Amino acid sequence: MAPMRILAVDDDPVFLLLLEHILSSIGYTDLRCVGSGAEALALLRDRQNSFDCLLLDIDMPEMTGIELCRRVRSLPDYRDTPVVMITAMKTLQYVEGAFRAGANDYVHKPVDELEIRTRLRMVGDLLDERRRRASVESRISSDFGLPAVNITFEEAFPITEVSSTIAYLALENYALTLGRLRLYGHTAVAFKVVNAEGIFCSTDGIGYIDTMANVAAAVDGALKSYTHLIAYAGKGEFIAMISQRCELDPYALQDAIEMTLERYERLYQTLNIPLPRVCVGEAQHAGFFTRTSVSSLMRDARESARRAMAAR
Amino acid sequence: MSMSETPGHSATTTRPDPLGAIRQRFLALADSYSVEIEILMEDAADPAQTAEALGEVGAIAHRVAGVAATLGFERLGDLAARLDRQLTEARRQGALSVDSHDGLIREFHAAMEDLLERGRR
Repeated sequence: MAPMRILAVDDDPVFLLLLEHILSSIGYTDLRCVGSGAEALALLRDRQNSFDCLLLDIDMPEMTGIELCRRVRSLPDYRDTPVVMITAMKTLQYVEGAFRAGANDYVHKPVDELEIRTRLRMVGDLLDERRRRASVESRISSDFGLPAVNITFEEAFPITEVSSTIAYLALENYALTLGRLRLYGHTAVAFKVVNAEGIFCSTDGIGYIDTMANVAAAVDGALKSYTHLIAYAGKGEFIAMISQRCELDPYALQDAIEMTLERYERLYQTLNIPLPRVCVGEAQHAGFFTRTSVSSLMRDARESARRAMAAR
Repeated sequence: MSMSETPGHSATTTRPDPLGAIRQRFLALADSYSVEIEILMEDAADPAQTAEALGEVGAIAHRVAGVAATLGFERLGDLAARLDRQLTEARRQGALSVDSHDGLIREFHAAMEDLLERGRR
């Protein structure tokens, strides 16, 4: 397990003592605790400090954990740092707001040792992957003297330019918070960039991410009449979770997305990058009695978009 | 755990209790929470102060709910979580009244007093 410097923020000193005890017993000993959002921001702004992971209580007086998360994301050094929210059952409904503010995951309060161990292991895996990539990028950069972003076609990288877009893992974690009843009242729909492989091969990492961000913005616009969250799932595929059970017209959505993207046609021609073309899958819903899992709902949505592409 | 919540004091266990110090800190806070609740309930009887006083009771319940069960005080934690949820919901609906929550607040307060009494013995 790679060392991880953790900052925990909670207004209850007993909870912080308990958290320190639990984290230390599972091997996380590099922990700093503070009692308010203001103290946390002061620490984070001081560049002498550096944290790998933040644990934020949602329900705090003055500055809530959600507001703190939003402010943390505006700090350049903490744009991508994993943020895990700590939430009591009564604040579970606010978790959607936390994901929108940039949180990656959540744990329940009272804290369960097994749950927090699992969540922090996932954070550790994410950090290991980022360190590995940073090392490769630094090597490429020093060999060629160019800034480089090393991504794979399969990778579900986060898109930060579009406000309703969150990381894929965060979208999965958000859907898991919903429970069976609320998941039943949601709609999942996937979008596939038909020529994503061609785009990937014709540009560098930065160009590919920018192109996918343009697609995300077009998808966001097409879904503007719904409350929704979007994530890039890798392989040129996007998933949107809509906060209501609804039917969608895939062709109407496709037209709206294409109209938006056509505005970039000349730019893409100049850059020698194919203009993205998007297929939309059928809306997918969870069954109430069949206990549809989040992963199967998302898989079904993506497969539907792939079928739409094959039929095109 | 039933009314007799006494974690860390098993007759058959001689190993030091790793949570002992945190539990003592919690009990010290619970002592002041108990007094605060009594005062807040007197304040809540005044309609002009009801919302603020019950909000403070809810904040205490929220803090207790976050740690009690992990420290071995499951019943207190359960009552605190129920009270926290109930008061949050009532506040959201703009329907905070002493009568609606008096029973649960008394039960929560009694459980805390019971715990403190056992700690003093």
